[in-house]
Amino acid sequence: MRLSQVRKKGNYEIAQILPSVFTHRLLSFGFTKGNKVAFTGMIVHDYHYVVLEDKLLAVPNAWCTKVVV
Amino acid sequence: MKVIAFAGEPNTGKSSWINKLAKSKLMTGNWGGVTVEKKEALLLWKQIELHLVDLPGVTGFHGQTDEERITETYLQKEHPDCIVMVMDGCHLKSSLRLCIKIRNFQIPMVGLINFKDEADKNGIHIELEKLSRRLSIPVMYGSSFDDEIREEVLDQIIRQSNKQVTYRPLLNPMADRIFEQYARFHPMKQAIELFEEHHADTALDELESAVNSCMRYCTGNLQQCNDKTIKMDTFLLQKGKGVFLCALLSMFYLMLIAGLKLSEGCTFFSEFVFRVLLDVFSSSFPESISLYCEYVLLSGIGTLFGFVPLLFVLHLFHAVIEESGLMARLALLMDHIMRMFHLTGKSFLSFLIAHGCNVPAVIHSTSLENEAIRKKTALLIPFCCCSARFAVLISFVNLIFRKKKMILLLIGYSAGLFVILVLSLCMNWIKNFQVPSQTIIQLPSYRALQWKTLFMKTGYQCLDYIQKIVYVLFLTLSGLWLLMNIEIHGTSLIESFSKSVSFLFAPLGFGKHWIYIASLFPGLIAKEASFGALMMLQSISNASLSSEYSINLSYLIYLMTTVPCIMTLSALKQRYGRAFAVKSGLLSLCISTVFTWMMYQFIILF
Ligand SMILES: Nc1nc2c(ncn2[C@@H]2O[C@H](COP(=O)(O)OP(=O)(O)OP(=O)(O)O)[C@@H](O)[C@H]2O)c(=O)[nH]1
Ligand SMILES: [Mg+2]
Repeated sequence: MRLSQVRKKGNYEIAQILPSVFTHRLLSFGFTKGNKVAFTGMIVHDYHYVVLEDKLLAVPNAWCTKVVV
Repeated sequence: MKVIAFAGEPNTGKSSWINKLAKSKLMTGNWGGVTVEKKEALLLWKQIELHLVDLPGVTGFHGQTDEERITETYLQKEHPDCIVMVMDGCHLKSSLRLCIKIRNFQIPMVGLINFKDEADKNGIHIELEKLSRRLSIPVMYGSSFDDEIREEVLDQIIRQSNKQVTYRPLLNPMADRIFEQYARFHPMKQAIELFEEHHADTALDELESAVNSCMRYCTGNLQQCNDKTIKMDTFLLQKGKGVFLCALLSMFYLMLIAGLKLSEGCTFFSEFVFRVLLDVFSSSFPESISLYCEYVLLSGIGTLFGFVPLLFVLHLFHAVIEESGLMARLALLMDHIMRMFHLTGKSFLSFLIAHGCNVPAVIHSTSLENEAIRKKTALLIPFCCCSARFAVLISFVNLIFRKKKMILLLIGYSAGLFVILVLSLCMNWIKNFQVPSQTIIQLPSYRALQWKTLFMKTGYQCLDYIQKIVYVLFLTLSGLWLLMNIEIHGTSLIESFSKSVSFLFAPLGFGKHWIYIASLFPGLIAKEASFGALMMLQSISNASLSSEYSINLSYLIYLMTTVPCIMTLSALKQRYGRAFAVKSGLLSLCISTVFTWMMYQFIILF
């Protein structure tokens, strides 16, 4: 499932990052295979509000389609 | 002399630590991206001169953002004597990931884990010795708010900066064997680069496992650090969004009321003090000097000193928003709305900063997502009502208008904002400024406001303003006084000049009042000077201020939107080039004239 499709609050494990122009940016924030990402249940306009390990991030939904959980 | 670079993720307290160590006044705030350019502070410690270099916060090095490029280039090319890696004790994992990446630069490092006060509250414990050994760098743990480890940190920095180091990457035995093949034939830094290039996936896995191995030395409920913030956000960003925005607007409204009340009292008080001082001292002066004191010091500078409490209230309001963690939330919430006007949430941040001062806003605009949006935002920043315009607005409204002061204040304050939004739409109409796709917005933890930090920040800004009065405004008004005293055919130079260009301002309504026109010129040096000049010119000449509502309102709107001060123009020139600064100046001149004319035509209808 893509992170952008996630609607249910909970913990997810990142299975894959699909190559895109954002890949480096996603990697440097710690979006890496095996890392945990928690969805807080909040979608603020075009952003998914997630906790990546210990960081609170608002990730654009377009970018979330590149994160497979 | 030793050069010490402070690196780390955004919002980990790098600037705060430099301020603590060197007693400097670098800008800080509870949101990522406060520092977007390299800044420096100097310190003499045990007879050694230390250059502390504040680098923009980064999350990695992929050359994706300007901050990443600035930090990476600096560490690679300038090769500082030591890097202080500032980490966040409450969010250690991501900080450690960056720390391990920065080790690869092969520059002596000191690890500095910040936010001990908050980590302690959340029961976080860090085994420093074991972590130091694992990373092969000395690691210290403290808070930039207290002096406890200040000396220890400075000593450690000096010790490390005298060393030569090679940091071997933290690898598992299998990967280490592969790495050895490169390390045998190449210097460490090059070997790491080759290893990462040829074994990208392994390198990534190894990085994560190294981070996890370091995290073994950090115990406690790490999740708790975020829990409170998420709970608050669940309310503020969703159900309570309306309440949140209303609360902010009410705070803003209260600030305006406080400003109005303060303005009445302060002008009176400051005039009283200056009057007493003048009466005491000027009796012994020759007449020309006492006239100078009366006009420049009492009417001009005395009025400007009355602005200090006003500015205090405004900067306090800003500091509360910055320190609490609301800035990033505002960027997130406003992103949606700003996109309707072909701008982004980050441009909104620039505008918010510009409401304090345009110069840091111009600097901030350089960190926006792409060149087009940067230039567009930078062109629009000069229309924001900066603190100087704010003080002029309140004082002018208080002085001239008797009724409906609040509505007039709101009109004056929002005139610039209105221009920004309309102009942004028009700009896209003429040329397609590409609005960037969104970026990841990091949301900092909410922090309880520390009164000391708030008052220090606000106090520094008021001190800066007082310095500006002494060094800049005083000279400006004295120059104006001089021009007032040079007479040609019985009229002063400034009066005849203002009258000769008055036809330009006639369509705006205030062309007949030469002191209104004359007061606009000092505003190019600093916006506050316009009001000081108006007061001074009014008391020197017999010309009085207009009593017509429409003329005064038109003048006010013009002041709020016209060409920015020289400092803003020079910041624009430095970051975007001379042609851009000229373009920006001309744009604000034309737009403010057209906008004021339209408003004036509208006002005289009633
Ligand atoms: N509670 C607490 N807050 C701190 C401490 N150190 C810094 N802060 C706050 O953390 C926020 C960020 O500090 P900055 O110094 O601006 O962080 P920075 O690393 O320079 O951030 P960027 O310039 O955005 O990269 C500010 O609001 C500081 O007041 C600390 O030890 N304890
Ligand atoms: Mg900083």
